[in-house]
Amino acid sequence: MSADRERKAAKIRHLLETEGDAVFENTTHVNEGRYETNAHRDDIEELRDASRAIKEDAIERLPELIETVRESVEANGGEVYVADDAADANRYITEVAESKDAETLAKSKSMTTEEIDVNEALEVAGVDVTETDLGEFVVQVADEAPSHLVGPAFHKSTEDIAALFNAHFDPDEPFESAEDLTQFARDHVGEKIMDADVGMTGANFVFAESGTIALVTNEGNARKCAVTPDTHVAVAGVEKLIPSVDEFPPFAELIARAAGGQDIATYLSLLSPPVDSPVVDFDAPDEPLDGSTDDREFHLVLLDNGRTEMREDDDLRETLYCIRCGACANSCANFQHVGGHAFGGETYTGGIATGWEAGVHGLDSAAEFNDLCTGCSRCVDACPVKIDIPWINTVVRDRVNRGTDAEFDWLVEGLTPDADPGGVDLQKRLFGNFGTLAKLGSATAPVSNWLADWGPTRAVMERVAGVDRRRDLPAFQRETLVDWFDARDPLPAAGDADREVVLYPDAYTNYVLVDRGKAAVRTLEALGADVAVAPCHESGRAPLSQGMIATARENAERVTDSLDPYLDAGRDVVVVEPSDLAAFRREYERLLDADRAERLAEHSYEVLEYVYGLLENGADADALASGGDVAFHSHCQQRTLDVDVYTEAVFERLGYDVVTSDVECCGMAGSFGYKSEYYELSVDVGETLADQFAAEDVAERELVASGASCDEQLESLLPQAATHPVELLAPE
Amino acid sequence: MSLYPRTHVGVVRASDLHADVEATAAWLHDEFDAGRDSAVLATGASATADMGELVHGVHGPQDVHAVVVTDR
Repeated sequence: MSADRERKAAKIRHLLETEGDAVFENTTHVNEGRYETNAHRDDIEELRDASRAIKEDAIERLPELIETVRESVEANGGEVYVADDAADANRYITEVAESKDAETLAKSKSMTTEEIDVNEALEVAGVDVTETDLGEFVVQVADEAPSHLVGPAFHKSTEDIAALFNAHFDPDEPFESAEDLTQFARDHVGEKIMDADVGMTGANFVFAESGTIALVTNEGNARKCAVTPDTHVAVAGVEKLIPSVDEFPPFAELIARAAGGQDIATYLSLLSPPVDSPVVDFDAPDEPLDGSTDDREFHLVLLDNGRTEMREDDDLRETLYCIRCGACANSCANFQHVGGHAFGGETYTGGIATGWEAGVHGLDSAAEFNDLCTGCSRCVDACPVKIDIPWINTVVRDRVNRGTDAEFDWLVEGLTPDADPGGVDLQKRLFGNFGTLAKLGSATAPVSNWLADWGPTRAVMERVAGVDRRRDLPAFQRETLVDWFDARDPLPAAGDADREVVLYPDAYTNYVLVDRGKAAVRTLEALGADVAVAPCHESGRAPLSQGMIATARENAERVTDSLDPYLDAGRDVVVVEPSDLAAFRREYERLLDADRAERLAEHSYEVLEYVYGLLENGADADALASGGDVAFHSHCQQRTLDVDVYTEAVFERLGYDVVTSDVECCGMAGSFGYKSEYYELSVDVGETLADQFAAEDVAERELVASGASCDEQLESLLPQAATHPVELLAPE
Repeated sequence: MSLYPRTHVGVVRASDLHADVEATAAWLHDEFDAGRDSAVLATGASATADMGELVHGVHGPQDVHAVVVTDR
């Protein structure tokens, strides 16, 4: 393994051992709450659409909103400062502190202040800063960086925090429970707030028209920091502006659901500082309060720090719609297992962090962790503002690829006929050209399989291309699906069937898992469909996953060219591999002309989705194999497309008893699990799924999985092999 | 004020109750239109899960009571 891959693998291994369990427990808990609270409403989609539209509009109108908020805050008696970058913001903030002779500052949670490292700047200026959000306080005591946008200490268990506090504060009675720790921290931090000369908050939203900041908390610390000292500094990215209070309601509904699995946060504080309430003198508790003599100050620091450029960047712009709820992190299988100290950059963590880091800190910060996004797309469903986070990760990967040099390019020329420029990492080029490799592997099978499995070959593959030796490689079949289909005698019914379809043979189905392709053909024919099989061309999924967008576009065009005649003839396209269907339905609109992409997306179906449709339209279910006990793992992208339900419905209709996994992703995710630096993480993620299928009452069931990767992962972790659902249904 | 004491008792008229966030939002719209510039929507005791488990009573109150006056 190369030194860089070994370094990454070692870091991940260390975090899996030290922080993985706590992160998994915390994210699982929040996810359960998110699914539960979303189920309380039937208008979540409408709320998400509304939030998205508000953010799109606000970012479009950003310069105007900045001017509006400047006027309204000044009219309220406060100041607005638009800071170009971190240094500019810190200079302004320290000047405010110095002008008040401040020695102490109490702060509520704010990722934007983490982005500019304001604590360090204030400490240099002699100001003692206390984090008052208890999670931030834990991280401050530990001298660590937050590992999560919402739960800064998600990587620590109660026991970890007790050990930290016992060592740091040396209490008379050692702390044990979460209750002990919370009470201690509350009292300790509470006194710091009362003593603070300056209070600092972030802002979840800023209403331009009224100069109002919206603070969302459960602890109540943000409002305390805002109103207890006579000076309040709020730091917010410029993207937090929305026009007015009228745009706030959908966010009020969504933010706590997405972030914490709550129907609504405990406190939604809408303040237009400087506030009217009197400043309390805690040293003179008997003095009557009189706000009229107060000299309150308010400074709203709006941070640019790269955001204007992001706004002008067609691919990164969406990042600015982010409301920092952390749902993309929680819904991400890799994040759940390794946490934000691996899956994050200088400041931000989780899926959307790639966009933030690329925008505010630069590509290098994003490059370090960007590969941890496998494109599984589960965050797409979780995001309350519908950001296409996998696409942002793909684009950033593409930009990172274009900025690096590779030394072994000559080794893969020919094997990797991609359209991306030299410099793309060899490992990425190898996996990004899987279709070509598979074609060659099949043509020379079984020799190619023997050769690929031969020890010295694996050693070279691992050293040069980072293909982990612990993984079994796909076994290429000499007879491809296309060959098999062409050699068959056409069925007598062909030509006058009710439905005419063309099966799209992805590279896995055509060259490796040929049986599932045959089963798909037999099943569709048994239900009365006339089946054709298209030529095998890589859909673009493989290069997309490596950030090779130019190659993916070339692939998409070739596939669409090959399918167009069938579409012209009125055939529906049936797809076996969910990740390829996801390419047709989700990514092709970014790669092709809108009309072509739309037509293909509209006429493409996942194979069990199509079977369901045929059965609903009167096809004879008796033609298929029925009954049995099944353990089913749907594919991550299939779930995001909401087509997993059809597999379950077909099984149910045919009398099968089905247990379905509830993990977000199998962890294999195409090439991810083959990469030596990520192999251990991939297995760790996969074991959560394997445990569900090894449980009592499940272990004896027939194992089915919709995706080729899921299939490989399950086979490597469980004694029994998985097949595609259609293989169970197909008539002999 | 409502944040510092350990117990917070809110007294509200039944006629001031709003059914849900949507109804509250309509009220907020009117109020902000009429010049109000702050509001706190508090829905219970302060809470945190930052120490690894849900604990009530953090910076805000530990016990919250809402007394709804129905005869006016």
